[in-house]
Amino acid sequence: MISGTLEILIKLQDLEHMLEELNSPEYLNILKESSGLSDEEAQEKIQESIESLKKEIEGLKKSLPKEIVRKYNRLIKRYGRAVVPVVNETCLNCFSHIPTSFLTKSGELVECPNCGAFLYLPIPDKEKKS
Amino acid sequence: MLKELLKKEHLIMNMQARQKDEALEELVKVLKFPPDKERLLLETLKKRESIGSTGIGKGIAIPHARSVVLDKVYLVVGRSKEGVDFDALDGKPVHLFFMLAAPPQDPGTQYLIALGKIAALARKLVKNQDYLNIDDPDEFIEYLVKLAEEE
Ligand SMILES: [Zn+2]
Repeated sequence: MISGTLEILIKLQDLEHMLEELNSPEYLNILKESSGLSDEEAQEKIQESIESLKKEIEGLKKSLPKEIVRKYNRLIKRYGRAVVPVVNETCLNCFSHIPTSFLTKSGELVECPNCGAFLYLPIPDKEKKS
Repeated sequence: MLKELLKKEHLIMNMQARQKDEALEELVKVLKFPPDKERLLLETLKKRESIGSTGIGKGIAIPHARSVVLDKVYLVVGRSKEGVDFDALDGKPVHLFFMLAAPPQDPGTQYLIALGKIAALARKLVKNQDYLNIDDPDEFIEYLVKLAEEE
């Protein structure tokens, strides 16, 4: 089970990545190419999505404790991300080693001891590394 | 690149879903993730649709998202002969889904490149609707790969 706060943080981070993607020039090209929309139409479409997305992000933040939001915003500002996966016992934000004692805490709200990012720890057994 | 992502075990030849959320659920289920992971990916995909449909028109949709819970890029292809109501840009039912999901730290933006390739493939697919007439999964994948590689 994933703790409620961590779950909201993961959703928030996923939306943040979505926003980044919508803002990228590649994305505009992909939309134009696939849909046949004109440049103007595609830009308008993306702009609408960005506006709704920003509202979603603000809404989700309201459901978190203020202290967590402050920390989240700080991380986003500093690193461009706040919630990162741990792969091969490594924090994918700062690439420092995550102590083994942390790895059993999958689902709990845990911060990287080095950079402070919220960690998404792999769910045991089904995520064995190949 | 699409060739590596197109897998028979990630292909649904005849989707059961008729509605948007059901379709996303059916596509995600194919990946056989643990429940938490499945739910979080599904919610992100649904959120993406809620801010603007990925139904690009002419029967094709490309639901896509990056999520912290993923460890690599996944592509699920689903076909529906009857069509799914997906709020597409042209309002028409969707017959072919390319669901692309990737981890956020994706190196070299493999995800955006794959998305671009799928978009290009989609444009070729709508010219004739042959994809509705192939019923053998291997043949179906072969058809997509061949079309994707054509200039
Ligand atoms: Zn770190």
